[in-house]
Amino acid sequence: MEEILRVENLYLYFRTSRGDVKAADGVSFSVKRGESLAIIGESGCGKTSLARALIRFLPRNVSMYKGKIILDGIDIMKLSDKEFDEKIRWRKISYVSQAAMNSLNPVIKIVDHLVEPLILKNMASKKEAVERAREILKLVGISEDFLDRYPFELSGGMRQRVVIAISLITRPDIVILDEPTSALDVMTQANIMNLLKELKRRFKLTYIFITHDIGTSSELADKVAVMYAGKIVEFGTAEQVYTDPLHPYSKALLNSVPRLHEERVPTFVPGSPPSLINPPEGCRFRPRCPNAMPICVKDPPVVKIGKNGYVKCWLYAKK
Amino acid sequence: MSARLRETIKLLFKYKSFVIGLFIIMLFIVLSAYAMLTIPYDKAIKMWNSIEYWKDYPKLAYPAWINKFSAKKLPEGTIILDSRKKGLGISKTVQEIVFGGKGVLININMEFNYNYDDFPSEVAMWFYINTTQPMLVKVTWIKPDGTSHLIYKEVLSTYQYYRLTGDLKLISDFTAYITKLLGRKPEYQMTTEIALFAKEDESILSKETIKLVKGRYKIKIEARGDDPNANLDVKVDIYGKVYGLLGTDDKRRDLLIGIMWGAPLALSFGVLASVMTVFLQMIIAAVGAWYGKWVDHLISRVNEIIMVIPFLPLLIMISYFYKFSIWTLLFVVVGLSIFGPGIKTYRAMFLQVREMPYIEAAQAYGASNFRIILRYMVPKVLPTIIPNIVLSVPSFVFLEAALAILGVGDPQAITWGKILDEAYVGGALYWGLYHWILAPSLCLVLISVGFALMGFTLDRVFNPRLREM
Amino acid sequence: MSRKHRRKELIRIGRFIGIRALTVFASLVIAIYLTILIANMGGHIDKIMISEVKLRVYETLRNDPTWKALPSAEREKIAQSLIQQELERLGLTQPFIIRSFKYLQDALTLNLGRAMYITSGGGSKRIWDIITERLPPTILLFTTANVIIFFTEIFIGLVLSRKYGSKLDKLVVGSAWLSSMPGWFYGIFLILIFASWFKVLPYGGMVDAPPPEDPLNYALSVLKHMILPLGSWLIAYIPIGAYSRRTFFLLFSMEDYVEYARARGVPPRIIERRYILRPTLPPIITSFVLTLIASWMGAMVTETVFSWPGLGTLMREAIGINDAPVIIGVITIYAYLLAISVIILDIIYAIVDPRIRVKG
Repeated sequence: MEEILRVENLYLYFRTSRGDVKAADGVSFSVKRGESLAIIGESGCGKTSLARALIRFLPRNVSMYKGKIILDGIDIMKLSDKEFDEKIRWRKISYVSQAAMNSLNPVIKIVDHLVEPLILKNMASKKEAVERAREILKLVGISEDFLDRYPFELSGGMRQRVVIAISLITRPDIVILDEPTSALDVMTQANIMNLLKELKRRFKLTYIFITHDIGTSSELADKVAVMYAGKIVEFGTAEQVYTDPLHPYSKALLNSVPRLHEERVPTFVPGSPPSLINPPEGCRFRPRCPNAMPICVKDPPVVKIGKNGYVKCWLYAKK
Repeated sequence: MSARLRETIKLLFKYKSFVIGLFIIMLFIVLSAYAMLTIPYDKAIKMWNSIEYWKDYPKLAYPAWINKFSAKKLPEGTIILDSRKKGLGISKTVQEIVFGGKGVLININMEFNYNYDDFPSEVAMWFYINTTQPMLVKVTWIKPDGTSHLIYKEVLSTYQYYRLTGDLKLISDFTAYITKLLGRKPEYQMTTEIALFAKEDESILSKETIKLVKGRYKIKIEARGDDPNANLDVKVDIYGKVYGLLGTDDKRRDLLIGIMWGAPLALSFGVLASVMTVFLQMIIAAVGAWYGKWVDHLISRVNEIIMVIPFLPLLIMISYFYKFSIWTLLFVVVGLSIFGPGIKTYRAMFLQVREMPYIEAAQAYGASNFRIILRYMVPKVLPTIIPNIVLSVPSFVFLEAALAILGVGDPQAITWGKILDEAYVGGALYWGLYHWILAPSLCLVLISVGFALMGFTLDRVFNPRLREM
Repeated sequence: MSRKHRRKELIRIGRFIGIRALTVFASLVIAIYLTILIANMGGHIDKIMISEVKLRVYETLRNDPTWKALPSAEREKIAQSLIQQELERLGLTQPFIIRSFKYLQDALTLNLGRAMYITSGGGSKRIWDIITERLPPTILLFTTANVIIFFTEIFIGLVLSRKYGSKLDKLVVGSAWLSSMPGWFYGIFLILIFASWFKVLPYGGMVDAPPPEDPLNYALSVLKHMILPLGSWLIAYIPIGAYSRRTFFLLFSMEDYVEYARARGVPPRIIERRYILRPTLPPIITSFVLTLIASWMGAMVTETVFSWPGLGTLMREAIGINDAPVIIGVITIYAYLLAISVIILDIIYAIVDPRIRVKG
C-alpha cells in the first residue's frame, strides 16, 4: 500500500478577542491508502480544527494556516481556493461533520441533498444523479422511499447514514469523519461502525476519523494519533498504541477506559487540558504528567518509534 | 447575583450609545421633576386649559431668542397698560360734573415707549365699566410724532372687549384718511397695527416702504356718564411677536410650560404602558406554558384571535365615545396591546425553560407552581424582556401622540402629542411657525432616540448570541 | 411521488388552512361585533341619533309656516308623531341587543347599508359606494409600502449576513434607532422640508387639484403625491427591518447545516438562497403578517397627516360627525382586509413549510 496522505508541520491558528487560539500547532502524520487513522484526545485539544484544516474548511477569523499537505504526491496547500474546490473538495477528500443530525437542511428533501454535490461539480446529469442517489442510499441501508422525505422525518441514526452517503456519492478517496457516532445511542453506534467498515472495504476508502471515544475507535483504526493541546504526542499503529502506549498522556487516556476482562479500576487524568490560547512552555502535558522531569520545560523532541511511528516525550529521548 | 449585576452594568457603560441614551433620559427625568415641583399637576392642567390665564400673552409668538439673530428686533411679550394698577405712564382722574344733572367725567391717560423694529401682532382693549347709566367712551391714539386719531367712540354700559386688530371700520376709516391726506390710495390692504404705528407719509403707501414710528405713544381715554358713581377702568394690550424660550401657540399658551409638563406625562405613560404590557404578557405566557394542556391551548387561541383584530380603530372609537382621561387610556391601551406576538414569543421561551432539569428538581422538592413560575422561570427570561421593555417605550409615547392627532386623546392633557397635533392642525407648517411644531417633535425624537439607544445596547449585552463570531 | 402521498399532503395543508381560516373568521366576527357594541356603548349612538332626528324634524317644521300657526299643543303632537315616524324609518325603536345581531349579520355579509350623513364623491349614500371609493387609495399606498419594505429588508439582511462587521453592517446596525419613531412622524417632517421649505412636493392629497385629464399625467400626479408618504414609511420601517433580518440571517448562517454546506464547497449564492433563505421563509412570513397587522393601524394616522383620501381619513370624518353606520362599515372593511391578508399569508406559509405538509 502506498502512502496517500502526508501532513507535515500543519499550523492552524485563529484570532479571538482573548488572543490567538493555536488549534493545530505543528502537526505531522501520514496515512496509507485504504488505512484508517484515528485521531484521539480530550475535548478541546484541537482535533476538530485539525480535521477541518485538512479540507480547508477554515473559520472566518483564521490567523495562520500553513504547512504541507501532500495528497498523492501533490501539496494541496499550494492550490488556490478555486482549484482546491474544484479538484480536491468532495472529489478526493470529503468530510462528515460532527452533529450530523443538524447537518441536513430542514426544508430540502433527502434526494436533493444527495444530488447536490454531483450537480454542483458537474459530475452527472439530474437523472443520473437521482439514480446514484438511490443506489447510495441503499448502500447505507436506507430504503429509497426516503428519497422524497425531509430530514425531520428521519431518526438520528438515519440522518447520520444520509450524511455518510452524501460524503461518498462523489467517490472520494479519503473521508474525514468528525465524531461520527458520539451523538448516537450505543446500538446505533454499533450499526454505523459496521456500515463504515463495510463501505471502507467495498470502496477501498481511506478514513481519518476524529473521536474522543477510544473504545469505538479501536474497532476501525489501523493507525492512531494521540492529540494533546494542539500537538500530536504519539503516533503509531493501533496495535502498538492501544496495547503499549508510550507517552504518559496516552497511557493515562487508555487507562481511563474500563476493560471488560480486567479487574483494574479505571483511572482518570487529574487537572484539565490547557487553554489553546496560551499553552504552557515546553511539554504541554507537563503540569499533569506523573513522570514530569526538570527537562520537560523544554519542548520535547520527536522520537521515532518503529517504522512510521513517533512519540514526543523526553522520556524516550536518547541522551 | 449582585456581582454579576455590577459587571453587567459596567459592561453597559462601555458602550457609547448607552451612555448617550441614558444621559438623554436623565435630562428628561430632571425636567419632569422640575415641572412637577414648580407647578403641581392639577394646577398645570387648569392653567393649560383656561383661556383666561393666557389672555395677555401674544398669540403664535416666536421664541424670544430669535431677536438675537435678526437685525430687525421683533416686539417681545406684551405691553400691558391697566388703569386698575397704578404704574408708570398711567394716570387716571375721576371728577364729578354738574351739567343739568349730576354726572361723571373720567380721564385715563396711558403712555408707553415703543422702540422695536416691527409692528405688534395684535392690539386689544378691555373696558371694565361699573355704572347704572350708559357712558360715552372715547379713545384717542397719539403717535410719538404727534399724529393722533380718534379710534373709538361708543356708548357702553357694561364690560366690553374691543379687539382693534381686524376692526374693518377702523381700517377703512384710516385708509380713507390716508388717501385724502396723501392724494393716493395705499397699494395694499392696511392693518390696524399699521394704522396705529406707521409713519403717515409717502412711505405708508407701499408695503415695502412702511416706516414704524418709534418713541413714546399716548392713549387718551375719556368717559362721560350720568351716573356720578360710575367707574371705568381700561386695559390695553399691545401684543408682541416673540415670547419666552419656546414662543406661544394659537391659544396664547407659553409652549415652554406645555413642553415641560409633556415630559413627565410622556415618561410615565410610556414606561408604565411598556412595563405593564410586557409583564402581563409574560405572566399570561408563563401560565400557559406551565399549566399546559387546555389552559395553554385556550390562551394561544384567544391570543391568535385577538391579535388579528384591528385594535387602533376600536381604540379610536372607544376613546371618542368615552373621552378618556389619559390614565384610563393607559389601561385600555395596555389591555389591547397585550395580545399579540409577545405572548407567543415568551411562551416559546418559557416552554424551553420548563424543560430544564432544575425546574423538575424544584417540583420534586415540592415548590408550588406559583413559586416556580415567579422565582425560576421568570428570572431566566428577564434578560430578554428588559431590552423589550425599554425598546417599546417610544412606541407607546407615539401611540398617545397618534391618538391626539386622530382627535381622540385626552382633551385636557398636556402632552407633546397634543401640542404636535394642535400645531399641525393650526397650520404651523403652512405658516412657517416652525417653533410650534419643532418643540414637541424634537422632544419626541429625543425621548425615542434615548430609549432606543439604551434598548439596543441592552439587547446586545443581555443577548450576546453574536458576540463570538 | 405517489398519488396517495400527494393526496395526504393536500389534506394536511387543507386542514391547516381550514383551522387558520376558522380562527381568523372568529377574529373577524368578534371584531365586528365589538365595533357594533362599542359604537353604541351606553346608548350613546342611540342618544345622538335620536336627538339629531329630533333636531331635524324641528328644523323642517320650523320652516313650515302652517305648522308655526298652530297652537302649541297641536305643534307638539305633530312634531312627536313625525319624530316617531322618523325613528321607525331608521329602525331605532327596537331594543339595541336585537338590532345588534342584525347589524352583525349585515356587516359580515358586507351589506353595509346607507350612511347617515356622508356621501361618496359620486353622490351615493350607500356605504359600499363610499368605501369602494376610498379603498383603492389605501390599498395602493400601503401595499406598495409594505412590499417595498419587505423586499428591501430581506435583501439588505441577506447581504449583511455575509459581511458581518463590515462598514455597511455597522451602518445598518447603527441606524436601527431610526425606527423608534413611526412613519407618520417622519411624514410631518418630510412635509416640513419638502413642501413647506423647498416647495417641491405637495402637502398632501392623492392627486393635483384639478386632477389631470389623461391617464398618464394622472398616474404621474399620483406618483408625485405618493413620494412623501411612501418615503416616510421607508425611513421609519426599513432600519429595524434590515437590522432584525440581518441578525436573523446571521444566526441562521451559523446553523450546522449551513456550515456543512460551506464545507462541501457549495457556492455562497446558493447557500444564501437554499440554506439561509429557504429554511427561514416560515418565520419571515409570520413576521410579515405581524407587520401587516401593525401597518393597517399606522395607516390611519399617516393618511390623516397626508390627507390621503383613503379609509383612514374616512374613519376620521365619520367619527367627527357621528356617522355610526360608516364607522361600523370602515372597521368591518379593515377587519376583512386584515383577515384576508392573514389567510393569504397562511396559505403561503403552508406551502413553504414542509413540516405542515408532512405533519399537518
